[in-house]
Amino acid sequence: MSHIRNQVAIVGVGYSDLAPHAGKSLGTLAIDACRTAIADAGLSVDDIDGISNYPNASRIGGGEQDGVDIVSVKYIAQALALRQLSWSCSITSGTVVASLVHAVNAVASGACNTVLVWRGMFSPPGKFGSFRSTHVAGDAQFTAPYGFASNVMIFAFAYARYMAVYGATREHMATYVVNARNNASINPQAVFHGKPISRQDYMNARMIANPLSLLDCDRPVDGCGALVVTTAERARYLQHRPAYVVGGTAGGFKFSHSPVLDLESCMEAAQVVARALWKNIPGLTAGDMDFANIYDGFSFFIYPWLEAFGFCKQGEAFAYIQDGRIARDGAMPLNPSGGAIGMGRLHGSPQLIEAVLQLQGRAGARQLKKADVTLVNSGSPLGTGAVVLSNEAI
Amino acid sequence: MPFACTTLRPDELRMRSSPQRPIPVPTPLTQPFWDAAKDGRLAIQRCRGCRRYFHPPVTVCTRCYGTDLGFEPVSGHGHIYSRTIMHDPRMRGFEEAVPFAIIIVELVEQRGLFLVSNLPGASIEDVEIGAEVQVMFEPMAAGFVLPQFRRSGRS
Repeated sequence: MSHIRNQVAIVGVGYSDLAPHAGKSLGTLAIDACRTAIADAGLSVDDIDGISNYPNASRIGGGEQDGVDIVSVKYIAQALALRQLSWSCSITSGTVVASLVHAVNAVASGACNTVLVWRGMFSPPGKFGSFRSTHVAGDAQFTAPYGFASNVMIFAFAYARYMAVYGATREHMATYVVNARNNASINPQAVFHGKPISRQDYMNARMIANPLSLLDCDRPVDGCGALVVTTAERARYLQHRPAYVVGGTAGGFKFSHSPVLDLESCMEAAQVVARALWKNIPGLTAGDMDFANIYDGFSFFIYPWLEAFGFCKQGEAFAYIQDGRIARDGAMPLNPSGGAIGMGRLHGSPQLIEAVLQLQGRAGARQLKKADVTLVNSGSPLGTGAVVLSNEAI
Repeated sequence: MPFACTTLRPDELRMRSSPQRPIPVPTPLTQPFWDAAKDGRLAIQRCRGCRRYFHPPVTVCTRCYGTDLGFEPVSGHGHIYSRTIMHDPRMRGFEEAVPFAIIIVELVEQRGLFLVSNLPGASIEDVEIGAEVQVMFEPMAAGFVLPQFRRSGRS
């Protein structure tokens, strides 16, 4: 039995405004989301004695000004006047679920009792992911001269190899993206609320880096998701049904050395994370999940993750998602919020916050019939957190 | 045996204009790679202890932890491990070159020994995962010569 099993629960969640350009500073959005999550838990800022965050600038090559481009633990500690703090954590990869995992470990260890976790994303004007340098140092000297200098290209290569090896096609992926946009279309907080797409829309989408099209990439947005975790003991006396953290892990590392990410290294990284997760939760497997919240910053990510976590065998995820299985009324609903593809580029909040709302029966029109236990992850295989959550201590 | 490239459209790769490529900033660790390319040779760093190749170059062998590392010529033969066609003009200097191909080449010397190339002059049929390629050299700005690849046995 893991030391954290059911010892900590998520007790409050909140979003700021979410929009391609929200018209508010990132600092304002983060403060809004954090205060909403604290209020949602029925707590006050004086109950918060820990903070945990992944502050990295949401755009490579962007600025680093606190409260403008990023929102650090220092910013939130000061802005919310968190004078009860006894623990804080600022991580370098893994986004919001990894921040959560560290918070859970801290609460379970007794380092603190009630932790505020958030992830803020800033979408500045200008072209996303652009590369402006005339000179390149470091490992990029072996890639950028060929025009290769963007995350979308890194994963386009892994995806193209996956397609070639296993026979996956864009028609297969259309099923995922159409389903995500369908879910988002009934999610009032999604950037694509009221905007479902057809398979034909997906097939006709503008290519960014073949085989990844515009609709395989999450839409950059301004916004923040936040949540509050506390001891299971305290959670039972708060206003919402606790979302217990059954177990979790944070990690995601490439074990090979090269200037690119090959498919095998990508899948191995995911498998190491998945093994650590299930080792932390003896007795449970993917088959015990009622639904899944899998990171989809690029649509391709769902394949290595579904396979590594054991929802299906290696090389079969593109077939697994077909025939209605991942729809809200299917056998394994996937990303009922719409995921990042439908909600916007929020680095895991569309997975994590949706999981909590579903477990608590608060997901409105998207509420699933059975939503008692779920797997949540955020991040690419090269930096991630993964947890299993349940509305019972299991 | 090459794999079928089911996602590429026949008109997807246009005849492109030459991009203005970002210029490498070598360090003592990477300089021998660029010096060799200037001489028309592909040289890759190798551990003299356990004989493992490393690209990009490293300061310590991550297999045997030896630090006696040097550059050795390699055959320049490999195959297309994967590829993308870049359509989005997000790279400075490549705005007029889109759509252009980028391939990952796996050299025959070692599994997972990868280099990047554009497969210059290729048609869309050439951008085929699994296809054999061999090194060639393309001069670029500031006196640098860029190792590139072309399909083997084709002019």
